[in-house]
Amino acid sequence: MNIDLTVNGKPVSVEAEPLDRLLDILRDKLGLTGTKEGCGEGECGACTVFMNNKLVNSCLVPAMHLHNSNIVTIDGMRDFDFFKLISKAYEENGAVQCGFCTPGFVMTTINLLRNSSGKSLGDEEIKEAFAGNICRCTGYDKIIKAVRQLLTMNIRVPERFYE
Amino acid sequence: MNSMQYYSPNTINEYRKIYSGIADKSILIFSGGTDLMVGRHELSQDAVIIDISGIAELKGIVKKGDKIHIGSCTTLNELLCSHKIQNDIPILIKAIKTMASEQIRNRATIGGNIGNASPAGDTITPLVVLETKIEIFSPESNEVRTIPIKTLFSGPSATTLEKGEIIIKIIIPLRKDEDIFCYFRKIGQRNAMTITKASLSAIAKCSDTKIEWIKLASGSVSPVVKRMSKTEEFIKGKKLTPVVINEAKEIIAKEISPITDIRSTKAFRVLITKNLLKDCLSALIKR
Repeated sequence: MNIDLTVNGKPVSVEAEPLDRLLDILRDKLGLTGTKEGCGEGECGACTVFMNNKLVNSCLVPAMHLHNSNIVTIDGMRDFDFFKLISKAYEENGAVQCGFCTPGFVMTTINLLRNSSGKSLGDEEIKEAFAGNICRCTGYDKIIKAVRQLLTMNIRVPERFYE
Repeated sequence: MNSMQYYSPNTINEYRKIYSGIADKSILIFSGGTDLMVGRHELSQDAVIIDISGIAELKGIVKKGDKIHIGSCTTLNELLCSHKIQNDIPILIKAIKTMASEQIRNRATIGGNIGNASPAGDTITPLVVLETKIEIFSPESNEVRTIPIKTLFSGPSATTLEKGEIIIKIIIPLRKDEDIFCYFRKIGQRNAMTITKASLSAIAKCSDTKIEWIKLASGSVSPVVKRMSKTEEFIKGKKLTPVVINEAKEIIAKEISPITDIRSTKAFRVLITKNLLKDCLSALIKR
């Protein structure tokens, strides 16, 4: 089947089977390798992307659901001002160790910043927001520290990306 | 992967037409896909996929009189964010909050969680205590039938659905006039992203010091989720003394039939089911 979709603001057209994974389309067909495959079962969150402005595991999204969809990956976030602030906070807090989970954690951070504007969140709420992201270097404390810092910075994340 | 045949109807009527053209084939009903995508290599290549997630009639949450109607393709996060569900069915919110992650809740549907018929399905125990009804569409007869949710399950991952039948609606009766206690708790390997080893859902009504009625359902401790009716019957009308609570724990232990499997042991499941009941009844006393 032929699928027309928007990826990081650019219209693209790909040929895929109905149950091909969005993750493979991004990495193998479009060369967007910032999005990682960890478990391939929706548990680890390394493949997290935004689909129609909602956080999803790209390993669980079939090609047949992609027609006319708007996908934003970690590769599409680099030019946004909020991304630079997130990157700096992760660096300063030592929140990146091997780095494999980082693209997924950053996507969930973006979602959390967007959904919590003006609210103050406790550590439990922050941890709940990251239920779908696993860091096997177990650098959670530093990641949470970075996120806590970001939450105090009043960062503006748009409701919609590339629309 | 070979090319699989695939259809995406936009209406229930279109679904019926597609089904009648391929009724002799093996059919795979697809919605959010958060379970099916994990096992996609094991799916039969001859199966025809019918993706029902684009059927608008199967989406949304509507209050009709004293009932809430939920379309089967409504996602878990849509339910979590719904003011109607937050206000009227808090037990379902408690359960969904413990399910999977933001990423998965944005895709997984309530109809999928029910249709998967897992004894560990976390929307199922609250829906069973709420005496939910399930609306099912049959493309063969072109008719809709409504059944109590407890009669949907015939075993682990098995339902009483006939070939081609799809769950279209989840109908939950409301008890808005009463001050209802509700409880949901599950025990898993960890707090986040965990599959239930044992869970308990309860709703109850107290008057003064006595329990007027209680409805209980245990998850992951029987081939299908079912009401703990002997335990309910025992607690009904009683004051919750330590003696009563201890006796209730022994009764619920006899009502469940857990197994030892990859996630837990029979003995541990019995122990935590008893402790969950104690936790639930203690919360009820403190109230």
